Amino acid sequence: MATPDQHTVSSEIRKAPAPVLAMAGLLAVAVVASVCVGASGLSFSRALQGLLVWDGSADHALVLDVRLPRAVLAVLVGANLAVAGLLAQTLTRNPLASPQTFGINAGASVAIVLTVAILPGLGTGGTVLPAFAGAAAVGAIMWFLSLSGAVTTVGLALAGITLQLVLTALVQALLIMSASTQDLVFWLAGSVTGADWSKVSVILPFTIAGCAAALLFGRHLGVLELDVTTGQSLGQNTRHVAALASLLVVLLAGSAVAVSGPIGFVGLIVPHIVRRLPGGGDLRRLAGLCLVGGPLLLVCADLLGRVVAFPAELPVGIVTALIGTPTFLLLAARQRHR
Amino acid sequence: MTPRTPGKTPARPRTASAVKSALATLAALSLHAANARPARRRTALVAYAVALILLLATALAGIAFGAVSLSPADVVDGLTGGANTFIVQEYRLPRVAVSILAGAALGVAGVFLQAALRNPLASPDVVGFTKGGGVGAMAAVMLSSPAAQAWAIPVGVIAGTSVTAAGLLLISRRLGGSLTTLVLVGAALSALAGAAIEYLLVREPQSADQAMVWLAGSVYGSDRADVTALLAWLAVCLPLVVLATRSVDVAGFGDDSVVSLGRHPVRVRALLVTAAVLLTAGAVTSVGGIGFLGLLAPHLARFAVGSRGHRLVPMAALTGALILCLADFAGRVVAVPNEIPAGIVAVVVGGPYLLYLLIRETRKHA
Repeated sequence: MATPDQHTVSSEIRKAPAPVLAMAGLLAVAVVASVCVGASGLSFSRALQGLLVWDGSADHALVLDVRLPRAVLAVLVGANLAVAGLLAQTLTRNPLASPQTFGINAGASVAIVLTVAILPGLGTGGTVLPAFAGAAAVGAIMWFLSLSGAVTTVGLALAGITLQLVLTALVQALLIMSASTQDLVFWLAGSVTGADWSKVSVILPFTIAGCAAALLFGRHLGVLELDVTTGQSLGQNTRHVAALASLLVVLLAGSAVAVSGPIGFVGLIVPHIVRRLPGGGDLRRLAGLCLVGGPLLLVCADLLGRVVAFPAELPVGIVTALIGTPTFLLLAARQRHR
Repeated sequence: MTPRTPGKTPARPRTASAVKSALATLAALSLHAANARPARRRTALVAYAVALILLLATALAGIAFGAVSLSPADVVDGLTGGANTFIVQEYRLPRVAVSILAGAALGVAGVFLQAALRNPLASPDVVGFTKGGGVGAMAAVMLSSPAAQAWAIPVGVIAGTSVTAAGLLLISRRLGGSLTTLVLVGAALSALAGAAIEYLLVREPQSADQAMVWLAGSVYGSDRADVTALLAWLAVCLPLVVLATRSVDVAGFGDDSVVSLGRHPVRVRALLVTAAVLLTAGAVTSVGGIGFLGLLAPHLARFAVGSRGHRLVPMAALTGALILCLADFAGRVVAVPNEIPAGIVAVVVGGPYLLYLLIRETRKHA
């Protein structure tokens, strides 16, 4: 089963190479720029040298241990969130779904803050499991609401946003009670600052597994977009497929929140943008496009946050909120016209 | 149901839930069923009385409880100028008074917003008013000198809330003015205001702890000046509140029905939203961003007296005051000698209630 699937994946990508390749090129440029721009004022050539020449100098260490992991982390988190958003939108057949609007990010945050408050010594690796638990709990609630078909598209989004408000307030409560607010404020806004290779190694397995599963099973997952009866008549066990999709959403979003905090709007807007690109349509192609588009958005937002507030920096979550809010409004307006 | 103008004709008694009928029986017993008032009205009167008694009891408990415990007799003594005058009149009474006033304001604001947006999940915090006010307050704290903060914070809150509301109305009008857009625009503005708050927190991390407590909402440290200011503000708002109350029923119908009743739907909505903004701004200035009160209080009130505006609004004020008073009291009692901000207690109670609302909504349609 693996071979024909892989074959189809590659042929799909061959069919629609232009947008993916163009975005991959842009992403490469953005990553290089992200490595070259920073507070220490390294020149472009020195930064490139640090990246390419392993001479053990201070510049090399700076590039290799500070800037490169940050760029890589932004890439991985962006891919996770975008693919999770795409799957959530497909699963709930709701264009306003995303890890953030459905409160899944906030659920993971509550679980992480709670864990850190109880066990302060825990590193990033230890917060992944609680993040999954929190994300899964909220995901289950939202999935239950959307499956019943009772709540309208907009109503569901509103329910998710309200749920997110409750959870954010709970996070605030925990922070006030544990009086360790200052350390967590930056993380809470959503940020890839302070990235190192250990964080990359925490998220990397989930990114690879989740995105590979989304690409491999994309054909099956795409059936979720149709209604249940049609899905069954196409020979799919819709329950199993939906369970797989929810699991992937939880894994991808939960691990992203664990390393970078709740970064909003990436999962919401990237799937919508890539749907309008020429390669879009089929879920596998969309997932492929999200895999490149999410990182592109997040790396650029991170870069922007560092350039705008130089020499301080803006958490990337704030930048994505500033970009994402107008886009969200446009989406909502289009939703109305349908 | 035929639309009628409120106040002119008595509402027809409808099928009542078990609790409501129990309340009605109680009412019938207590009033000897002598006069032929409609049952609904009697229920409402009993509900008012019960809420008022509970509120008084909570307020009394709130005044009596603290580092120095006072007996009810001491409290009465302190209120009338006896032995514990200072504790009662300078510390505890202002705190209880502020929580009553702010709770009432938020409860009524919730009714207006739910009526204007025709959505049971709408409340000042969901559509971003609270957060907008929070941004204004934080910006005021950071921009003004410490001496000027006494007036800079209220100005900042009112500016922040008004800008959010104006943005809400203008943007959603540009996008077509339908109700769903209004709600979504509110949610988006809320996210934007949240990002702005986070930005300010990141810029000034040394004030983050303090700001977090304020943003979560707390009546800690209220003094007489706060009470006077809030009371004056609410008194100024009162005419608008009365006007808006008369529009609550009309706004509940669809836009077409509003037109056929001779009212302008956009103007009705603007009136309700404006009243909600002013009330929220007053409350946020004095107690910070207490969430869920605006969601919870109207629902409890509707459960007790039904959804006719002229009964719902006073009841929502009572339930809002009661909830905030109780939340403050609970926050002080639970973790002695520490205090949990009232806003957090409200969220801990309000969160599960919201889930219940969502699930009930699902069941209703399934």
